[in-house]
Amino acid sequence: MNSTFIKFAIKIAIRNVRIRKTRTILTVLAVTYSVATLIALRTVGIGVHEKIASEIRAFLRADIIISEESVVIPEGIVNILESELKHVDYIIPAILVTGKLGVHSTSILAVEKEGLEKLSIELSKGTFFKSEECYEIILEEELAHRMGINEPGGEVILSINVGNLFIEKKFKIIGIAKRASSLAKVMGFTIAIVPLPVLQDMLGREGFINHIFVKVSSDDMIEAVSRDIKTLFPRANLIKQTEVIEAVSRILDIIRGTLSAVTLVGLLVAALGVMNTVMMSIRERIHEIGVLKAIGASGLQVMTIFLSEVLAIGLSGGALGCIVGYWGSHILRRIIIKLGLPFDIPILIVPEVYAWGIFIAISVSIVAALYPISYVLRIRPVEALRFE
Amino acid sequence: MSRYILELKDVHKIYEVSREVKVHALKGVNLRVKEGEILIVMGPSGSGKSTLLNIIGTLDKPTSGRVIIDGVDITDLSERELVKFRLRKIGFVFQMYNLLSSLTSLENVMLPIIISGHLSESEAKSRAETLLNIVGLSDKLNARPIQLSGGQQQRVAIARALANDPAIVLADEPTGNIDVVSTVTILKLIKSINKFLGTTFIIVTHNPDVALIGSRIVNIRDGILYEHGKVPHITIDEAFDDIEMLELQLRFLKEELKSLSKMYRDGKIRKEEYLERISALDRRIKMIEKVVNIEA
Repeated sequence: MNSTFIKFAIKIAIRNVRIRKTRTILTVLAVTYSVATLIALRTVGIGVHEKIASEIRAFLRADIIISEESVVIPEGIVNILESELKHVDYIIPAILVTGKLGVHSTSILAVEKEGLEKLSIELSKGTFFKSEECYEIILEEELAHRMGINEPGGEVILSINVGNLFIEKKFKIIGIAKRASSLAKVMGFTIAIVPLPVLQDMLGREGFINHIFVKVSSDDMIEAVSRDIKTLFPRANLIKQTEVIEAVSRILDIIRGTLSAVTLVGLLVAALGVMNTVMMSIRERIHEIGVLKAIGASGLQVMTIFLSEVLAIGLSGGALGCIVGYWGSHILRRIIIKLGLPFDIPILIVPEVYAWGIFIAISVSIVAALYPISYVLRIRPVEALRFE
Repeated sequence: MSRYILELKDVHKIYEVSREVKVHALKGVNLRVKEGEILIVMGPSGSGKSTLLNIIGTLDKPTSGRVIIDGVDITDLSERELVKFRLRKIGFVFQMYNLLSSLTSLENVMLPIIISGHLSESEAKSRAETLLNIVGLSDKLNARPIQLSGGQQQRVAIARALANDPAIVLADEPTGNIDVVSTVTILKLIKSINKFLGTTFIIVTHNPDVALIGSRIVNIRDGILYEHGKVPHITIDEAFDDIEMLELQLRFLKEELKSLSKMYRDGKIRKEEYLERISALDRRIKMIEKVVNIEA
């Protein structure tokens, strides 16, 4: 088959598509609908994934966290890690316990002064610690709000339960910190920050901590650094940022799978639409097929004409689906926000998603058309000519 | 001496409607058609006319017997080989014209040329234009079938049948749906093309007027062919005073000559075929030139 014939076949196909306008438009719309759904769901899915990953990073504030329930890690380990580990930006020793400020339960984070900056904690009001020996406390916005505190300056009693002991101390509120992660809000997680030496003193655990935050130079190195930590301290209890993101992603994948099933049903409907259109088109033109075969067109050549029609439908459905899908993802984002998800989902244009959309539109159309088109190959010209 | 362009040897066709019911449509048909003849096949409905035409047109295969067209025994050719053979050797003219409704007259005539793949698009176009000139439709090149009268559509169909310069044109009731005036035009056209392009025609018809242009008439009844002998000659030959049409046909043959040498150069046809077709073309060109010179 030469290029002149293919050009001619496309010309015939386009004319026929135009003559049967309404039916073609409806079929194209069916393809458009399914491709658009596919693209919108996928685009929003990627946006949600990105957003959640960044929220988790903001919430965990480190790539690897070494954690123990009780305050039993000697601070000296931090020095060992600092000298032994490569590809690490910083290591922050900390104590993370739960406590009560008045009647409000909250997490209490104790870090050294420079740790605050590294964890990129920002203040909306007040100041950071003046020295590490003062009983000073920084409340997170959400916590301050719950406690009915608008300005720093007052005092608050912090009580911590250690075993059977109840330790209480009076702290001066010196600052209010911005909320860094909306995930924390979703989980109802609040935090108050105190200087590390003060909490150690209060708990009577000088020189001991229960958390070490490790920031790795790049995401690719998280695994390697975790391995190194395990080699140094085989019994260390590690939380990896990537693992948490993966765990959350798995849940998202299940949701996406369900949505994909819905999309597949749409795709199936579109495929049936294409199949029906091609079948009708062939039924109507059996006589024409007979004429083409009688004047010497091979089955393959006649098939090319019909395949060009299918390709035109698939391609226009795919292209239209990409455009509608892009705007659809904006609408879907609004719906999700309206449904109460507290963060803004970014709409990212991922070229692969659109390429897939067009590819799926074309291949579904062709697969759907295979059965009716195979009839073109089989039918003999005499039978076709007799058909009125 | 003319050679036989078509030979049917004891052709039978039996349709098996069911295990018990069989229809014997052709009962041992023997037929020889000389190159350049116009053979008229007459017969009532159900006599086997269409079956005969389908078998000659390679659209259907005989149950037994041989079919030889232009020296090739096509009885045992595969469907794929038949498609190629049909494209080159046989032109069809149907009662219902059967033009592709989405294409213009020009494109309809170009179609078989483009399917054959021997010529480029522009060459196919110029050839189709010449053919449409010959059938007198130079002003309807870009009209769609729906914009043409029945007679005009049939003339496009004749031009299409001639597109690949076939050995035989098969016409099934070519004037069956056409008014009397157009019928005369079409018959003149067929006669003229037959005489000057040398195309053999086999025409199936009910219409006694159509039979008048035939060089031979055969009757078919109940699957058996009866030879009638010679047909009385009629005056439709007077159509040949149309010098303009002859010149157009001459131009077509000369173009054909050109594309033939091109096809040979491009290796699309074998040497023997090339020489054979060149000599046939030469004969026809000389014949037209003679008539044109006499008239001039």
